[in-house]
Amino acid sequence: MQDNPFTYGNPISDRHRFVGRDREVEQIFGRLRNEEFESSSLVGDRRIGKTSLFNYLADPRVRAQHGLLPEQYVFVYADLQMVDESMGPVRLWHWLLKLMRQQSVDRAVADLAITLEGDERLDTFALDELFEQIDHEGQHVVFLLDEFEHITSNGNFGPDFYYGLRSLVIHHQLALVTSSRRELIELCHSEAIKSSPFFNIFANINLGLFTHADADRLIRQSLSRTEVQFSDREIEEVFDLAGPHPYFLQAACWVLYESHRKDLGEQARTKILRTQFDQEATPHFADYWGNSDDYEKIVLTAAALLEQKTTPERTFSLSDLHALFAASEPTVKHLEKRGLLTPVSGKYRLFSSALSPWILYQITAELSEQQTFPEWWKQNQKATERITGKQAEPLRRILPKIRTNYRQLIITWASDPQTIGAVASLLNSSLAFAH
Amino acid sequence: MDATRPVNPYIAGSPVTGTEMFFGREDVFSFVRRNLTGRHRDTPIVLYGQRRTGKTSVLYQMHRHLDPRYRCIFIDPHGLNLNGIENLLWGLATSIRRGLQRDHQLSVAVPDRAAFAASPHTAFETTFLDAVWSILGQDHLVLMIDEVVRLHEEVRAGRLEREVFDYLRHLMQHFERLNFVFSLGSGVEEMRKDYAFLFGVALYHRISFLEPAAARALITQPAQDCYQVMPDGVEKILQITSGHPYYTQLVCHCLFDRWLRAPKPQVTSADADAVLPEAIELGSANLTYVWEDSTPEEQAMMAGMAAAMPAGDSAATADQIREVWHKAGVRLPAGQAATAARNLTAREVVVASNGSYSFAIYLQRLWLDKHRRLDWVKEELEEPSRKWSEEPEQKRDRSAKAETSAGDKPPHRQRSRVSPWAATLAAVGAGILALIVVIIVLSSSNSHSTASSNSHSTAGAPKKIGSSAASSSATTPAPPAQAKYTLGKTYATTQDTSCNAGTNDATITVTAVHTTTSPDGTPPENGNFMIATVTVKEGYSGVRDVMRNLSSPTACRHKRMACSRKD
Repeated sequence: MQDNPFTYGNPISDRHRFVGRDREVEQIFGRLRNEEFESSSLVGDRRIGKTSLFNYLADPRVRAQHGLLPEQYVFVYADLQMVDESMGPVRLWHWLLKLMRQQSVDRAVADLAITLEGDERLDTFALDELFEQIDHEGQHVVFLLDEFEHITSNGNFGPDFYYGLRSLVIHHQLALVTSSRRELIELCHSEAIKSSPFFNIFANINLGLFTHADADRLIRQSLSRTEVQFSDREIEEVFDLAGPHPYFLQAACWVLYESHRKDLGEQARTKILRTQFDQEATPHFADYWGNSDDYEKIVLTAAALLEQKTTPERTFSLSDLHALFAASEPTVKHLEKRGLLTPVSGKYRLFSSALSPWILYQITAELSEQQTFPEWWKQNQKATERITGKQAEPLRRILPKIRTNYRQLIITWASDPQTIGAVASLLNSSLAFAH
Repeated sequence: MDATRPVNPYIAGSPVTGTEMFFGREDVFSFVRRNLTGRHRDTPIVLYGQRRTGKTSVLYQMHRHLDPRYRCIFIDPHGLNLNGIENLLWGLATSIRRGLQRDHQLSVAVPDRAAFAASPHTAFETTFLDAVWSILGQDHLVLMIDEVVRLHEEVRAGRLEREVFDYLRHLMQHFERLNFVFSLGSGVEEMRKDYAFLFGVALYHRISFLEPAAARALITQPAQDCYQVMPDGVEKILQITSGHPYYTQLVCHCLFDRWLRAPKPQVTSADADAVLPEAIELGSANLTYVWEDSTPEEQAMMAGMAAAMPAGDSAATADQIREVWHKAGVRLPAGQAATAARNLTAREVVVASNGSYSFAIYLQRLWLDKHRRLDWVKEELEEPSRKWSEEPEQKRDRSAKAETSAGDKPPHRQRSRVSPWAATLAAVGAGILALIVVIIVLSSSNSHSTASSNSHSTAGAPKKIGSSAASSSATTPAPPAQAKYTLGKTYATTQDTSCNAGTNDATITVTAVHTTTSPDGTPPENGNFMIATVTVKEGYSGVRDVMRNLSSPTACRHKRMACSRKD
């Protein structure tokens, strides 16, 4: 049997295996092809496929198909994860120039880049001269800056860096395509940078879940090179677990394909799929959860509780959420952009059926925590003052069952008198089964 | 995508450097042409306007609109080392050398950096500029310094000597063929105050929304080989963007993308409606910035406006806006609302008319609907709203008077908020009958003023620059084009906040407020100031002269000039 056609963990680097994202690719290339050679900012959560998309964009044959000939356009990919607290603008530029030299097929550009590579006095003006000469050579440079938040959150990069970079982009045949987890303006370490005009040269392009057509194409296209066929029930199971999320689809399909290689029966394959998917997904769920603010955690928890109630459809409407948390709507939109919530026929569900039990497990207290609740209650009188009166009784009863870390969050959530009853009731009916 | 497919020509982000995607602004070029050669030729020109209104693009186009004897050099301070005057002057010299070489095929040498370090003025002025004049012959050198506020920021940060501005003034006065055009997006008022010798005497021209004809051309012409934008589509885009250059380009960019996905011969208003969510997403950084750059009071006004006008394109009064907040359990004091409304109007986020407010850019309202609805931001504004609820009645009553003129008398927008001084001044100004003095002397001495131009360009619709004490329906007829003002004659004396001019016969009302304030900047008592108002027809060219004359040798320490537009 052939090698497993599904991969996860590393970004897709083979353009033949890259699926979907037609719209985003068109937008980015379209902006690079226009008269002003415009920059774009790609925004998407971890594992959504930003680096795979960068690899695809940087492929010379792909670029050529879109009218950006490799002999005229130098694409420089830089993974900014390596920018740490010891690195400042000068070192970053040295590194970018080195990458530019290495990744350029044009000799003149490489020769120009090397002139400044080790220059310790390198400043925007010197770079301006460099890009002026590159313009003169008829060359265009595109920096694909992956994980740009490593710059925006780094205090070594002050306003001057952004002003200078913007100036270079505006005046020369230089364009940037950045990727980040959140919008760049949300990630800045200072107000001075936030208010700089740097960010207004970008168009914001959100990278979310696959369309269902692309998700389906990913599975069928990958299997077409093999003898394995997933049954409809298996594909349904894959979608239930992974949703149209590119990373989790690959992970689920990889596991399932391996089970096929072992000649296991369908029932056994499905069982393995569920078990292994949970193991694979857990650290990523933890990462998404850890990178969610309080409101997002509240909405995710409410969504998880509602899903438990509506199994197997596990869908809920905005008004269902609103009844539990009045300020849910903007957060739902945010979670949808992140790919954690997915719209289904006018309703919503969490993108993966495995996410809901994971969330409920997170917020449910261990026995030992339940036993120390009275102590916690005494120590947190100020917080618990927010849930007073008879109406709050059910919530006070459920609070010991909430993990210590999340009690404050639940109080924040339930402190609205309009929704406290509904929240307590839902928590009460769901948490009994969580552990 | 096939490489042979048409390229989306619309530019949503970068300045427009080419000619094909640049439309309008003849008023700006005419203003610059006139003043480079007229009697104010030794005076710096300042092109100012809100972020994203196309100041940099205008500078890029300038050389195409001036006599070729005026050699334009674009200077971007963002790309210069501003650490000390020696670095600045070296950077300026090098930029000039490069510009002359690249755009004018003229070669000139720049002294090395050591010469600038040893004696920056000598290196720049004696050695470098002398060499420049020798190759230019009788031609002029026009230095166009984009976002000159960067120099001020560096002065404030202690990295650049304050004297740099004195030196620029010195250059202007001593080199007849050296002209300066500055652009400013923020800090206008501060620059005028801190460097009065330079920015107090400058000739100002506002860059704002595109004229309707230019906006229509931008909407229809770049795409005409692919599709026709039907009249309802054009009107829809104008309604959404009000002819704001960036947002017009943005919506058209999305429309073109939509056409690429499903080509058809004509696009309509339905297509424009369909691309709005994408336009909001692509333009997110700019739409978010408007919110982030606002005070809590301004944010409350915006969210309140959106909530108070559910029909979409209607306007809301300050009372209606405060009422929606009241229903949400938040008291937004009248004075705070009035100040916020004035600031938002000055920033061209909001349009004020007859005491009602609407969004200048409909996209901003859609963004608010999507991201910052009133009930969502209530918590965000919890802390300031506590302060509002504690504000004493007396203060509110006093400020409430200013509300009657909200939006009509905004100062030049700067990053800092309108001062309490300005708010109180407006209140006092509205409280007394304004003494309006305008003197009109017909003159045709300045041949360049014959061009149809005014110092304030806004989108199509009526324009207004003025105060509550001004009257757009002034009884005195508007002065003809080519007029020049001098002091000494009463022009109009009514008090009216309305601005009802029609599209093609717009009224401009200019108000200059002069006052003798106390040294600590507190507001003057009644009677210590004068408001001068001029009402002129659109296209009138002498607005700056009014301001110049009124700012001349009186005992005035402050002047406010403001613009707002109204649909």
